[in-house]
Amino acid sequence: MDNNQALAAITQAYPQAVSATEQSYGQLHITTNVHGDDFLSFMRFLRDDATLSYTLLSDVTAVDWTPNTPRFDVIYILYSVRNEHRLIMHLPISEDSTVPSVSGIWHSANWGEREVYDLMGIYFDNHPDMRRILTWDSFEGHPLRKDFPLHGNYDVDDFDFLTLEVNSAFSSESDQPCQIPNALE
Amino acid sequence: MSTQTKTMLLNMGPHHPATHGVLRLELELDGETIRRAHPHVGYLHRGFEKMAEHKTAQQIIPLTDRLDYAAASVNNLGLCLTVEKLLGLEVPKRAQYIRVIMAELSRIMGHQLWLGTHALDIGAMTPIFYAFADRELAMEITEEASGYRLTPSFLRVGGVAKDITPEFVRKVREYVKKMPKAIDGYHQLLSQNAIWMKRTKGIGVIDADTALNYGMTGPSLRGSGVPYDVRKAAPYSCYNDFDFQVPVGQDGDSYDRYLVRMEEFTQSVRIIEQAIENMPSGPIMADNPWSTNPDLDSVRHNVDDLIRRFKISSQGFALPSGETYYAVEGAKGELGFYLVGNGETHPYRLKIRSPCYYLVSALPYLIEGHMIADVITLIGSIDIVLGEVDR
Repeated sequence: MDNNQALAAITQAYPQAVSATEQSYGQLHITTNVHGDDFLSFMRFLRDDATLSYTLLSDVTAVDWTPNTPRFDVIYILYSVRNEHRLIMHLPISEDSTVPSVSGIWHSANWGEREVYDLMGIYFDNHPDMRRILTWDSFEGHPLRKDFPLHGNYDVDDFDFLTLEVNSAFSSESDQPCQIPNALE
Repeated sequence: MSTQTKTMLLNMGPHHPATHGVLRLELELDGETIRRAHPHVGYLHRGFEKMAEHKTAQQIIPLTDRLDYAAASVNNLGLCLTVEKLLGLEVPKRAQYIRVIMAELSRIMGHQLWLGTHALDIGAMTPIFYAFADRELAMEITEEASGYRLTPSFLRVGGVAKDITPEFVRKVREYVKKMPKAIDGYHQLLSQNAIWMKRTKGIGVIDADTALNYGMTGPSLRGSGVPYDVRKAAPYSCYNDFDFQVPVGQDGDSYDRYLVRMEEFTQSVRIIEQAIENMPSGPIMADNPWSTNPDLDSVRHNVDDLIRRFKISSQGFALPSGETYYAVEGAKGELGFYLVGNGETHPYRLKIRSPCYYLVSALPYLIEGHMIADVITLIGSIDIVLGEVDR
């Protein structure tokens, strides 16, 4: 399948979803402007459609275009193993809006979106586990935003390692860690 | 008297030797059976993507060495190809063949490290000695080419750092001759070993659709029967010149993933053999006055080339406005780089699609319902390197 065939199949089924397309460097980039449930059904269509079948969500990422508006560009890199075709989908969003999570469609979006949330500060609605992943839970700021300084927001000498909390993913009461008696006491 | 059942929470890592780095796993145990598992990553996060926004393209190459440090050259290849794609550079054929040799050598080195540690984790001590002794041969070839053993940074945007020597050719030929026997040796140690089969067969079964859904790529996906290999699906760097096969498994368990990687040894050696025997002659660097270094000989005799080399080394070169994603087949799976340029010498954004990151995200699915001892098998069988997970 080449770029034009894929684009024709997409625009035929969802003509209102594609707002711009580009084929730079031989790759198909499409920009979408649908939000909410329409966005989810569009994504589900890309995975489930018999001719397209983008079964692999390679990666989710985002680019910070500040001071342009809308500020962020969320990028989904989709791949169809059967057609050997790659589709790069752009979803422009403003700083104060959220994106519906596609982790119900591709499991790989679970960690992909967590990383985007952690490093870019874009919140994904209805995500099963929207926590930071690469930085620690009490980290302040989102490092890959353009207004985040390269060397961080504070000096390493001012960082208090002793009070750093180690958080658990299982937070209900029955899941508390068992107490291990101290052998020295 | 009433009995009360309570699950126990066990923290495994981040300094557990079997986690291959700094991976922390929270396990919810019912006896010795695992009900739920949750991996915590990020202990090795060095912020490469942020650092890359403040470096020139050549300066990012050493960073990529430290992604999957067990197989460094193939990471260099991924970045160089992405930058070349954005610049529209055509790399000479000789450079591409040298790159293929380096990439396949690093793949073999990565797989040998995996084989040794995976078997050691499960309890077989012998394979690690053989695997590491043979890995030393590949290390020596890498050293002959680049001067470094583990982190060669040998590739450059537009070609490779320097031409190969007759000694390099001799060593590679010797290596190609020795390896098939060594691979047979690995097979004899493990493939029909009753304990090994008992520990890996039927452990961590994942079917093809679920594996794809979790974003698994590389040998771990091919173990489930999906013949997706970037070298075949979208050939880069002259891979369509070489005759090689993509091994796939059937059951999607740890044993099949093991067999797939074992067969990849043979295929990689085949590619290296074809590349060294059909090595074309010619330049090893693309010739573009704005982005590639002139060769050292002309730098010594021509002042314009001296200035060009100085400017490209000190200031770098401008990356044109545009966005591109380029993927190569890393030792662990699809290693992709999403590069955004805006006309400056530093990338506006560089996103590294790390295969191991998504492999770790599938761990809870694989682990569920197994015993603690199988966790060790599973971490080994998806072959993760935490340097690549955390970036």
